[in-house]
Amino acid sequence: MEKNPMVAKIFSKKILFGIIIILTVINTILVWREYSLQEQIKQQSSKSLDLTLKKKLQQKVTEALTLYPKNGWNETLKVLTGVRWDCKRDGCDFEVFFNELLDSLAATLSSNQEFTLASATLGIIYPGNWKLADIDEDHENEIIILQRDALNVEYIRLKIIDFQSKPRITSFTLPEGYLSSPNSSGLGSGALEIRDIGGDNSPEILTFVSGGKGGAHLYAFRYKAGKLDLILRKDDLLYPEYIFTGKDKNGFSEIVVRGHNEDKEEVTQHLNIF
Amino acid sequence: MKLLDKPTLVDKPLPIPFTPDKDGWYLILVSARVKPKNQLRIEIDGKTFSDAAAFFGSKQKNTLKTVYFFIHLSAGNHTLSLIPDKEATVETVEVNSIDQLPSVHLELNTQAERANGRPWMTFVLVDTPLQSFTVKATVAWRFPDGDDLKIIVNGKVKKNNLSLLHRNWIFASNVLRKIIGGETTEKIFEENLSKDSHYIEFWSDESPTLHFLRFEIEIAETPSTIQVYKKGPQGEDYNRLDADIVASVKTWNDEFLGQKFPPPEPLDPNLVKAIVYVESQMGYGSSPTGNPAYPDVMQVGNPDDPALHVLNNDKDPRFPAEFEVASGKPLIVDYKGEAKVEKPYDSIYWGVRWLYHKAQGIDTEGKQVWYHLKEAVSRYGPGTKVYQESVWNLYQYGKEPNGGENLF
Repeated sequence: MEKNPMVAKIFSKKILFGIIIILTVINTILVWREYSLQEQIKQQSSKSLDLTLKKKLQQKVTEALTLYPKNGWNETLKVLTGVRWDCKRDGCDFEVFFNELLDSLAATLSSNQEFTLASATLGIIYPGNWKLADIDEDHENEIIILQRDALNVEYIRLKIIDFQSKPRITSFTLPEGYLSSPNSSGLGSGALEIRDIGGDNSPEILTFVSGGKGGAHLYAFRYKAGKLDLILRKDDLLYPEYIFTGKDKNGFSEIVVRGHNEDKEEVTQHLNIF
Repeated sequence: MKLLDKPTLVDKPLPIPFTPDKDGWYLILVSARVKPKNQLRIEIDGKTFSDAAAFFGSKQKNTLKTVYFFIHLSAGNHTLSLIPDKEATVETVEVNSIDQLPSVHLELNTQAERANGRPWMTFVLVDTPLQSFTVKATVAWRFPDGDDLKIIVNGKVKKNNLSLLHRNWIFASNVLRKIIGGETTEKIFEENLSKDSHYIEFWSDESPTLHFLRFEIEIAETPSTIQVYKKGPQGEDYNRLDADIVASVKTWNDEFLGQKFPPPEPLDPNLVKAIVYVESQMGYGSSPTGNPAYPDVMQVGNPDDPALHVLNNDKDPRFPAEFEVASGKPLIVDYKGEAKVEKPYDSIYWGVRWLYHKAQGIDTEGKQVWYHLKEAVSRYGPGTKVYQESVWNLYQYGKEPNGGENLF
């Protein structure tokens, strides 16, 4: 049977057209793949700090605190909750964004309850970095906070918020970057303890913090009438464990410290605070 | 300064003298057309260059190619020689002074003549380092064949790993970009090449447009000499990790010194050697934890310390994410599990990385700041003066931290 040249012509045109369509579809699929991969890469690599967002959210909090006397606590808390949601949604770092606002919160708000709720809402306080205790024996609780330098991990600030005192905020900067624990593991009871180590039935503030390597350094403080005194600093042993054993045979409170010295030998020391 | 008044047919070697009036960096530009089977080479003051800087008619097929030479010249007499094989039509020869360093920005806004896959431009960096370069180009899609742009650095093609059909064309057009936009893109290429002659070739397919090209050419060098320590009291070889130390320091120095805001000085391998000694006595010492002194010679892998947790961003609740400035913004440090210690080289490699992390910070505007290395040493260790002084005195004077004999 003779081939119809017209049929052959049309058929070859159809084939050509089909090939073009197929190639276009393949190209489109490949381009979508390329585009979505690029988007993925952008998202994976963009765990960045949006400092513009930080300024914007801080501004919202500052404005709410400025209006607090007029608007009252409930309205202020609504704003802070909204800021928290914005932060969570946009993937911000709470400590980096809001730690700077702690002093403003303490200066503006009226009570422990308001302050702790506001600080918790903004992620400034969280389990392990704060305590509520009457550390100056005035029959009122103070708020004790260990606040990290979340951006550069260069220091930790011990802050006492005392609504009965002037100044309301007392601060001490520790030259350490990390929160640790009494056994240097960073786990367990946490970096902040309130206990009597002086044997006088008055509480001291104990902080277990670390420079990064070498385990927990102990800084102990007394707080009275807006004044914070460093009464003990122990940072010469490596990976120490601090044991609070109560009173020694002389009736004084004792801290046993077990760790390693510079020669990497295990040592046990006994500390007394008078 | 134009060295040719008009397009010139060159059929024999043509020396072109020129006289820069001051010492400095110059951009010499030569544009030429070469027919198939013809060639053209360029020499500057007798210095020859690789084929990437030549004109081959078999590849160009009489389309216009431009070669740029970025070169340091002294004031005085120089000669640019055009050396044809048969003949070539040289359209432009220019010499211009370049003042902005170390970032050299060339605003080109040039569209290639329409042709299939051929060499279009070559940039020759003569005896300079190359930290990175940035290219902005437009590649437009059109039926049946759109624009593409290939980049070859020192003979190696920049691969387009996101494309199956345009693997060798780092800028490739497609119909989707035409629809949604994105035909004009900017790409940065980190090279970190030390001082030498480097060739960056651009090949065009159809008619892409090159908007600008920017080179970053300054890289500081890592000190290559390392202090030899005396043997230990039991014959310990305290120099056994020198090669690993030098290699790791060079790797991270090249990375950080190649950044837009590099540290003020390169990290000295001798400082790292001092840290390794204080941490583990080069792996011969003991460790106060279960983390052994060998292979973790820089003691970066202790699970109760933050280093590897932070480097891997492994979400250990004890160690929140930490930040560094990269690509101009604060980013979470995250090596996604790559940071681990299985042998001494790993310990030193990640230890140096951790040291670099501790050597920098971020100011309130989000800009990178660099600390003095002595401060970085303190932040690497437990943060005590004793540790800092132990490392520094060993580094500077060879003073053995445990009271032993001087190590230098």
